[in-house]
Amino acid sequence: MKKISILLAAAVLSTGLWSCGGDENHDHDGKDTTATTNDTMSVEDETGPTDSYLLPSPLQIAYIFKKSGLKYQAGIANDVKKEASYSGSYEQSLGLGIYSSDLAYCVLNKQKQEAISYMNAVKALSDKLGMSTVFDSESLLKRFEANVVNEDSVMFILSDIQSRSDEFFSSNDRQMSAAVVFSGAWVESMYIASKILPKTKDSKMADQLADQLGILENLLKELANHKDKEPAIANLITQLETVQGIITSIPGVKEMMESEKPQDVKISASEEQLKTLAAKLEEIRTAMVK
Amino acid sequence: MNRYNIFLTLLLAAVVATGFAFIQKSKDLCNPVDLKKKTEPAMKPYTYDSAKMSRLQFMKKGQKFSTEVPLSLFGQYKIVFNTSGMPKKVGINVYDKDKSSSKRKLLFSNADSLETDPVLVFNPEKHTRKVFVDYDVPADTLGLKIKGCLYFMLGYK
Repeated sequence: MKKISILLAAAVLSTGLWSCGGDENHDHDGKDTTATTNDTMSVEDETGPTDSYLLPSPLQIAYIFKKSGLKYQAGIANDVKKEASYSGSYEQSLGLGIYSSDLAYCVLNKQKQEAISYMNAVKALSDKLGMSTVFDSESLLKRFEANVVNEDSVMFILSDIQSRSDEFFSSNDRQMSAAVVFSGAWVESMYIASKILPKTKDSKMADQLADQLGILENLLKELANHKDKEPAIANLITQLETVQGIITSIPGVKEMMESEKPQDVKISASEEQLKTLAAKLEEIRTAMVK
Repeated sequence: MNRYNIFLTLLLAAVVATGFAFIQKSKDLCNPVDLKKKTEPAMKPYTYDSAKMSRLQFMKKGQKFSTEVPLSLFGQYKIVFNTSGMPKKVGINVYDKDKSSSKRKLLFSNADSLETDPVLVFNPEKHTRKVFVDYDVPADTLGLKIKGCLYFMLGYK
């Protein structure tokens, strides 16, 4: 009997101890928080953490373009009906990024109905990519719909969604997905800007597009970390490097990148250079949205 | 041993196991949700843009790694570091250029900050294109295998 008692006690103790140590890769919400090799290191890893490249939110990019005078133009964003046709995690990740940019563009331009449609597309693709925890409460969508014309409130809601997405990608070893999502978002933002800024008075389009070069550099470095995991990434890198080459060849851009006072450097793109850039962005974006 | 004694033994074991579980949980310093909550108040009135949590372990040799942060010439930014997930001080230095540049300038450092204040705020000057956050992890000379994490949040307005 005594042996049975000891065995039972040992079983309870080991269960308790297992529960302590067994979930070290999960946070309090039960999400997997296994470290990624890029920005983290495991206990056994003796190589140490590696350099990493921060990618901003699609909302910030849209906000910066909006501050610079980017106006709304109906019909330029991706058709919301295409959401259902995106299959496979790569296409869906690109689609999520594209619709996230379209959502931010509509919100910042107070396009209520369009914003709600894009929010639904973002939610649908998030669910398909296993990111349902990002939208774990219906109240988030209801709050969005109720506040869609209140810029401060809706910015807060969108930044909350961004923050939850960042947590998801970081906690689930999905850095590659994060980079692909951002690729879609960045290309869509640049495509919209390249279509609308030429029609905007005093837009300083070349300055606006050259300003994005720092983000593009980070995106290319981050994508390079994942090119062996997804064959399509190598082609995406090649396409984006072409964009980088076009922007860098604009007179003043290299000086701006090296200058202590980049805001004082004059960037003077020819009409031909801007057309070439816009055409390349359209080509990449067309392949993405299909 | 009668049933009463078995019950008492099991109860004692359960209490001890629960205690162990509680202690282990309290040691979990690297919860991204908790770190975000602790960092957000310092970010106001800026809007959240992105965050990064870096897990690390002190090793026999010191380690250095960096995070490149692109900024827009047309935006205003705030960077908040939260070191509450690190049991030991880690050097944080922010530069205007990467480590290959001999001309790079130090923009921010936590060298003089106290370990008791884990939230550090840095406002990059307007018209800054990019900043390079360098982390300097000291060597683990005593072989304590200390591990923890650093949390970084970027905001804009």
